[in-house]
Amino acid sequence: MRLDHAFRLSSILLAATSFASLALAISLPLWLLTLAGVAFALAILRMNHASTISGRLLHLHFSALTWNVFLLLAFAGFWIDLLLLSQELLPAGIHFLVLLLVNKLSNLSQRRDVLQLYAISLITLLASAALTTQIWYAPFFLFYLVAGVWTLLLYHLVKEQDEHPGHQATDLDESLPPSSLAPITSRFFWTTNTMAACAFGLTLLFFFSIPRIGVGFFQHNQEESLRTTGFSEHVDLGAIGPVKQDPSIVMRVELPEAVGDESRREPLYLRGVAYNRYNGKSWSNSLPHRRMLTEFPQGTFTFRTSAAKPAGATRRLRQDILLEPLDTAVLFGVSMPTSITGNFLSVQADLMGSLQLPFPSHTRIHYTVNSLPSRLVSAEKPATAFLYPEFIAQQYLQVPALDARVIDLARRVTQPATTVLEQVDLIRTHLLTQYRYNLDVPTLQSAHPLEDFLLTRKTGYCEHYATAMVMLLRTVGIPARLVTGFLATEWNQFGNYYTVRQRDAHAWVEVYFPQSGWVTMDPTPAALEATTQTWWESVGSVMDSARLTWDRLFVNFSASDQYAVVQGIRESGEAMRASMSESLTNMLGHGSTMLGRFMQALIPVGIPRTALILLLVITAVYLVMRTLRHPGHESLRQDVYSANQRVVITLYSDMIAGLAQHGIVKAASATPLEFLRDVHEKWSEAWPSADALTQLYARVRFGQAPLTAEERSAAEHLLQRLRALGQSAPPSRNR
Amino acid sequence: MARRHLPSLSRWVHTLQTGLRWLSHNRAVRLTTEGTRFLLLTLAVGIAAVNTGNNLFYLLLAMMLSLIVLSGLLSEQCVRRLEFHRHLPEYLFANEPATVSLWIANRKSRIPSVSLRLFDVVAGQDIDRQVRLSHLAPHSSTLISYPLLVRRRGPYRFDGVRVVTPFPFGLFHKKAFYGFEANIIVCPEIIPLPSLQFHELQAIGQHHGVARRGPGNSLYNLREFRAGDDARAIHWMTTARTSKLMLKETEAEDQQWVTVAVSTIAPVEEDDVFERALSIAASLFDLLLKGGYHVRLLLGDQEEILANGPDQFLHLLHSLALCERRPAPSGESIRQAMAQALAESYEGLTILVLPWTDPAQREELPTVDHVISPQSYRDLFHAVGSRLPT
Repeated sequence: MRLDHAFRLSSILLAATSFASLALAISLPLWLLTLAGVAFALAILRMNHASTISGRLLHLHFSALTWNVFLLLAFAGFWIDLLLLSQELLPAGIHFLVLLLVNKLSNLSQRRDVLQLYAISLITLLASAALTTQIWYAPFFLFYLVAGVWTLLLYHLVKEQDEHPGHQATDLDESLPPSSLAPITSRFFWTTNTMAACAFGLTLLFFFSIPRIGVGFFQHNQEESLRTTGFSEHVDLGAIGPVKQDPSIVMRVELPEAVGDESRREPLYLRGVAYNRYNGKSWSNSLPHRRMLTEFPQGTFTFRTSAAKPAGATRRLRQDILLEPLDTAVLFGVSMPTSITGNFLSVQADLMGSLQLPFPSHTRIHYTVNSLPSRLVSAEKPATAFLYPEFIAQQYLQVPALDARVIDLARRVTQPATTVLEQVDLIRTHLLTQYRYNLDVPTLQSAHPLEDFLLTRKTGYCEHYATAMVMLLRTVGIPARLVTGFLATEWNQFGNYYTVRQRDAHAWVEVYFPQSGWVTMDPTPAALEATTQTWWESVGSVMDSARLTWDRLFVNFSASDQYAVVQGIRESGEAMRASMSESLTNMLGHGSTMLGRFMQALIPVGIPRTALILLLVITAVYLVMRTLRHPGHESLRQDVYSANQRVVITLYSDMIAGLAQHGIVKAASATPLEFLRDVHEKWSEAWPSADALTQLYARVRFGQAPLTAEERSAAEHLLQRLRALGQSAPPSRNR
Repeated sequence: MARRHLPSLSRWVHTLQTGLRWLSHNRAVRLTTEGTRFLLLTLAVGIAAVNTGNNLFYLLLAMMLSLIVLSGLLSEQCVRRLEFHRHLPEYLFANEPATVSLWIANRKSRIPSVSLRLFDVVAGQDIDRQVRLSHLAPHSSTLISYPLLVRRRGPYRFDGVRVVTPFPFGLFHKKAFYGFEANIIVCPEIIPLPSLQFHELQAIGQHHGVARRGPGNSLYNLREFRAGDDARAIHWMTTARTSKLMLKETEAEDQQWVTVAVSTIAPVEEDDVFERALSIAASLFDLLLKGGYHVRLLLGDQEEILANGPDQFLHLLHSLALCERRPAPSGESIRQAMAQALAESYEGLTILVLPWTDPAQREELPTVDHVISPQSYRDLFHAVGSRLPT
């Protein structure tokens, strides 16, 4: 492809990239898309002058007046759009921008038009950036960057050629085409792409290092919230069912301090809201009082629960959660949170340990939760009965008017049990084994959904199982409550995090033990799902990981991230310095010990201690100086000569070596001219070449004259001729 | 402790100052029109990014900044590690184009130098000779020739070469200065002398011919042989007659001498006429020497210069090129010196080139045979189409 063709193509591609990005970010009217498509197609067809269609199109130009009228109409259309049609500035402005793009694409006759096209394409990409934060923007941006580097470079080269067509160029290298009519060489292609890669690297460097000092006059980063169910004050039984098919991502959870991959793949119960009251059809929270958590230090909210301190608390579990915008203010995390860190104004907690923001967030939020999930302590396992506190008995043993068969079922199931834990296990096992998981249950229409599940239908999903377990436990006098949240099971091995989707919405049970506290129990059997991951799911995981990285590194990169990076670098620097200092101290310690031993060994021989130290110091200094100076001498000797001088020295040395093969040896004391005379006497045929080489050698080495490429090639040619002469007509020995 | 740190600190400051001075002298950046627009767009995107806090705006801003930085880095690579040698002619004449060759080598091992524009730096000014080099491969050199036209006589000094490149994106002009001084003498312009009755002068000159020793056939003198004399010139007959080794000296043929006196006195407002007078003198020498005359130059109060044959023409031109105009008030001593020198010129024709007419000076130079002045040769001094600066 010729340089000028490449220039036009890259200009059109630049505009096309920004337009495609805009078209994905906002839905443009069909007529506008068609118009822009036609403009792009015509612009590409006009590039190829050879074809008949292109030739006709080349001559198909509207007058300047026509285009001015077009622009005026477009401007009028913008005002009509703004005031009457869309009545919003952004869509109207974008429509006008596309019309400008079409105008410029159709008028790429002058250099000024091309520059205006670049400016419009940049504004188009900017508009696209304002409208989206999706990951598809990344490849468009990258392509725009590459096309931008190509376009700017080609623009400059074509302009240079147009302004100064008679440039001089050495044709020793073909990395750049000498004229605009020359084809693009492969070397030029790769050089330009390397430049684009460098530009990309610099872009990343600048992006992460530009201080984020958002003034925020026009900040607009709200996103559409996901609709969730199951986290309001009252939840009807079966409300979670409809979302169990929704694959929308709700959050991503990392466990940065968890050890080993296997442990991370265990299902993770992310607690949202707990309920203590059931009226036969819906759950509610009778303890709505919320308190503000103490914020100390800044950004960290400490949780101090009034509930019993869990004696069976396991080790701390830290979760880094990236929560998508939801229509609920609930914050999710593993049970028994101790602290929550994030960029929040305040965090509230109710008496059942549920965490909430004052209002739902319309942006993606990132926070960290530290939890101490409780497990049953061994001392409580053999207990046959517990004496529950009054508050617990009041709030968590409530049972609505249930069918007598349900009460009978509870007693029947727990009859063989001798301990409380056995009662709990029997009920859970009964539910796990005797009932079938099924999402297709019309619970919301039922008047007695629990009885339907337990006695009639015997199929249901998590809510039914959890409600049934809570009611059965309460029937036999064990306090329990229903918890809604998400069960994270989808482990993304590429990004090392849990992907939590809407369909992972779950309900489970917390059972109260006086010493252990609230212990999580899940009576719901696992749904029948394929265990092996298909390639498509793997691709999905990779894409999701990429999306998370994009969101974290680019979309949500903030000043606090920059601070964290700086802090990390400083801490690593300090750690490295401490480590080096320690190593140095150890090394010096070993060295002084060895030196002491060495001295002790020599002193008995009769050498005074002071003399020994002096000797060692002098030796060390000498060795250091020698080490430092030796390479310096070598480089100095090389640096004495310029590149030209080195070339002629090499050529002359080759000549001497060649002549020596034929018995004409240069004595060390002979000057070049004396040696030349010697050559003349012994081998007159070789003298012209030797003379020319010697002259060049003397001129460049001693006269420091420049060595042109022509002279160099001529000298090499002479040397070759000398060698050829040595084979065809060697010097006669008798001369 | 603080005192111990002072020398190292001052050394650092000195190094920094030197570096900054080197940078300011050797490197400069100028925005192009496209570059100005690009910077304005970058500024606009930056303002949008700060105001909205949108990270994708920051990404675009970073891209634009990276292009600016990449432009700076690549242009620096283009203009660094170049080597120049200038090949100048032996002498130049004012207003006469001459060819200057510039040898340029790229000493970089891998990176070519692209889109170079070369400017001569003369007296701190960049002079565009329209020398362009679109590409110079690494480890290669090339020779560029360009015409050089100097308007004024006198010493002409090249400070060096300024290399400018808009590569890679044409957003900036990166300038680098390579200092290598070169001096050349610009001789006065040689002009045709149409109105000067040169043959008449020649005729006058014939009468002033004086016999002089030199190569020829006619006898000039017989004298005693001295050590170092050519033995072939011994006049054997006289030697036999006088019993002493006698040498025959011959009379030089073509013994026509012309003394040209050029007055250097002229007021500042007559500077152009003074320059014209020097051009006339140079042109006169050109004619005389080509005609086989021996020439003697009296230039103001300077020592006389003798020239014989075209080879010695340069000596005369050199003096004329470096000659300085003297203001009228300080001209008395010059007049006296010239008068004395002219009085001693006992042989040949004497011509006075007088840029500025001064009746007093005319009276003091009685031995002058011919005067070339603006009054006597108006058309020569005010020739139509003269390229001398006005």
